[in-house]
Amino acid sequence: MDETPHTLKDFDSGLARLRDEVVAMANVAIQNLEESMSGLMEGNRDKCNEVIAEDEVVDDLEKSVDEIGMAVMVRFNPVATDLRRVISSMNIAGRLERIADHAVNVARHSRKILKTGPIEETKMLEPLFGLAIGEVRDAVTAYVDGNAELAVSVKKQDDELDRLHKRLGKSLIQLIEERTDGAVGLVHLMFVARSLERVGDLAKNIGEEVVFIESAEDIRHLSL
Amino acid sequence: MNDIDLDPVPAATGDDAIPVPDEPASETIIEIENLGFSYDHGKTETLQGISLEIPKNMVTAFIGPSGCGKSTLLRCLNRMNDLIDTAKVTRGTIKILGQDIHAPDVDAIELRKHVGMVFQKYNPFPKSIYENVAYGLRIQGVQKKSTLNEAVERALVQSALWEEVKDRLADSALGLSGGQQQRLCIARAIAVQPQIVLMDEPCSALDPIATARIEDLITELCENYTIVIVTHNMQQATRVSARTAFFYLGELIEYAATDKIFVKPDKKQTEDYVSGRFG
Repeated sequence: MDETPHTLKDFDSGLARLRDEVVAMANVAIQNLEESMSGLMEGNRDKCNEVIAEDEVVDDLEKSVDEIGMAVMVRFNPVATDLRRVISSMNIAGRLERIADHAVNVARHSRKILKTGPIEETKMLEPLFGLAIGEVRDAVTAYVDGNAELAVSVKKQDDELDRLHKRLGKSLIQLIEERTDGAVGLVHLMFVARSLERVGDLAKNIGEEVVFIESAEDIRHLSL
Repeated sequence: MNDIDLDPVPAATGDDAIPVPDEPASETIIEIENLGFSYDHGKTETLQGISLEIPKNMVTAFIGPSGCGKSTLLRCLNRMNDLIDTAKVTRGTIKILGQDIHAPDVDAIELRKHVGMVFQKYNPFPKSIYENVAYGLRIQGVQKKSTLNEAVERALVQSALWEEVKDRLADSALGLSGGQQQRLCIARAIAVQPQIVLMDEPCSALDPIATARIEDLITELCENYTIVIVTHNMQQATRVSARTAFFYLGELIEYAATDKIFVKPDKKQTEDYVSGRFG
């Protein structure tokens, strides 16, 4: 449905602030995820440290989204699409905070890998990372544009990511079994892969929230 | 109205469960079909082809901007508009329990015994609390003191007023607070055991606490009565009603379970109105 301006301008301002805060949070979460992977790939510990320090920004933004959301609900009692938008924006903020936490996980494991020197197999994670970050970007774009179709596509992309993660996990286990030393680094890579897989799940959840905002359909736990 | 099979109204149970919206088992009590209504001898239609079915023992809310026809429709349900010389139903029918209420053999006074009404501004008579509640029964010819006492107590209990007034039934009704006066008017309406109670913005003149008490009362009363309420308060409609009808410029735009109207209405006009985006 097209957006007709609300009779109360403050209400529209509140919704706009909520959206802007979620988008700001998404930008930081995406940047942290990219920095943590870039730290791992380039062997740059400083980047990993920055991601860990930056996590507080995301935590503060999450609180801010919740505060704005609750204030909008208390002041304006939104219904229908407006209500879904407020509730789902708060849910999306929660997902983004978890994505940022996974960026921190990736950064911490990367530091441990880098402690013993870079390992060749790190490159194996690149396709997985590409899919995960692509999912997050699409989910956030779908939220900003109100694009339910793009949001649904994230769910499908995540199936591909899950398959890739499974294959990668098997390969890494095989390498660990074959390796007599240096297996610890591969175990850390498995944790990084696991975090990327979870990032994909969270992006999928954001896509589900977008579908709920736009069409009031609850597509969670449905296979499409 | 004597042809209508009027079941005796059961005693209040005090249960506060609101019937589940869209419950398929719910029986229809009011059927409105293609109703047209005019205040100026039929020159212009204030209501244009309204069709809807109102389920028994549920609360149905009529919402819409001022002038949309919701109060007019409400007043059609007990033929209150008959009191206006220039007003007339231009087309369609209203049936209550299958009986056309505009049929020649239906007496409007008799109809109003079965379809009571509570107004926006509480309007108790300048009489005692007891006499206000007993009024409808007295004009029906009930004289037996014990019958009147029983009916007055039952109506005051059902309207959640008994505990507050049982020791001062002979006091003037005008000495009660606004909220109490409105509950007294509800007691007066239900004392004659109507099947349907129409409420035209019953809380608009009350403070939030008195409003909450009336809303609580409405949800209890729908155990025994069918309630149709006109309200400008969206939150009130969501709190008390199982079904909601949205009207605009004399037309019924959308009628559905209240949850649907306020969560995912089908029409953009409805969504814009309930979410405050009406141009």
